[in-house]
Amino acid sequence: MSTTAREHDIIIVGGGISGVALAYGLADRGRQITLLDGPTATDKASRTNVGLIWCQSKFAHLPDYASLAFLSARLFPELSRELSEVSGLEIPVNYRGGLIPCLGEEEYSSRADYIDRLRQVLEEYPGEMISRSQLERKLPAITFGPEVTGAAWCEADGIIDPLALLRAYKVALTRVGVTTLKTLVHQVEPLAGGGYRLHTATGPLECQQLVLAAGLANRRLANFAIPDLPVHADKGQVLLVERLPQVMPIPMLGVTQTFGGTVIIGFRHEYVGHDTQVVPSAVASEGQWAIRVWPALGKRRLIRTWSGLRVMPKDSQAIYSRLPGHPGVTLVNTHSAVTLAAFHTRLLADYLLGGELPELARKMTLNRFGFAS
Amino acid sequence: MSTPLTTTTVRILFEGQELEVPAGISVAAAVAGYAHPGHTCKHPVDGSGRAPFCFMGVCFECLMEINGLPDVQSCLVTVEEGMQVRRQPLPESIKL
Repeated sequence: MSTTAREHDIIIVGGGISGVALAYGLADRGRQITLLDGPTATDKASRTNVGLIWCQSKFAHLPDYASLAFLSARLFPELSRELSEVSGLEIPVNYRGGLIPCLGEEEYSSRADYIDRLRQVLEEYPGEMISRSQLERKLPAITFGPEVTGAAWCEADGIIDPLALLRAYKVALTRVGVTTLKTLVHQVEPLAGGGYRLHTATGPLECQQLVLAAGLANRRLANFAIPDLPVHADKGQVLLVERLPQVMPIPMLGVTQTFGGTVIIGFRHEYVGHDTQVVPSAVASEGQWAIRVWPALGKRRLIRTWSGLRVMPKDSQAIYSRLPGHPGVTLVNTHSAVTLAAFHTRLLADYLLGGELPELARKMTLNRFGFAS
Repeated sequence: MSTPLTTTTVRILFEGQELEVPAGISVAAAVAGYAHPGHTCKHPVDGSGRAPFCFMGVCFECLMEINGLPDVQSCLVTVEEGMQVRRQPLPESIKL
């Protein structure tokens, strides 16, 4: 264990999809970038998701945030091609849109109302409600349950293998000169003469500029400036169905077939601290819903169930912000690290280097929670 | 420490082939170790051949048909005299 601090230029804390996306975006700016990735035992939200690139049916009350997802989704195809080329790794991905199945007339019409509102707020919306027979044409290999009335359809959505994306980013980082260190950061200490010292499991590190992209751990890392970062652990619990032949060319929300053939069932958001217990009645209710949508699943083998903690800012919207009193520290926290990865890589580098936020993200600083910048 | 693992054997059938295997081992171990089957199931998405991998109930690569029942994790089932074991049936027959 070293006791003298090593000097770094820019340190990014967090080796999940947010951290690697930001690091990759900074790689061609002529700066020395060091990424710190915590050990496996830490919360790894980037490994607790199905990889949806999801724009539709959300954030009618936060139109800029809704638009940000659409923007990032448009940037994704070119990014995933580039990452594949640079890393030499295949990234399973499909940009054929996304579906939200509806059970019953009431659910169908309330979903339709929401999409109408989004269309008004955003002025342009590349999606619509589709009937049951239209849904059957989009997913002809699936026999839907009798209660299925149709679906919300959006062509901007997609799905990417999230582990392949993370791995491709990590390999790509080695090719573009970003150094990754495996270590756990316990605490950040601002230094009197400027700069920051990070107390890590493998000794102290120092840097001039710091990017905190460590998901839930940002609460601990930022607490030298903000004692109570408004970001919560969002527990999800899912059921995993055995591998099936590929029958879902377009992903459905809540019951989604992965590229490996397994089907992940889950839609819960629970705010119960860091409890990761799987509650049988909770996952059972998800399974019951899935069988109403797709009855044949009820005859397939469940292979496991698990829970994980995702990242959720208090008002659901991403946080892109300097820390109060610390212009050298930028904090990034979002629930949608996969969907927004292309935005993070392509359009946030200037901000991380001290510039302005892109127009759409200007209201996403900590100011909205009453913190002075 | 040269005590043999078992002193008794049982006979099972794998794809009609009779195997004499130690009592007390799993079906996955018996098939992998005594039948040299190449594959025991095929990946439903890409059709590649698969065989028991983890032998501890985690990977689901060892699914076989045991006594007429498909989808069984063969690493979690102990061999029994006269047991009929077949490769996991192909997924084309699945109605979704």
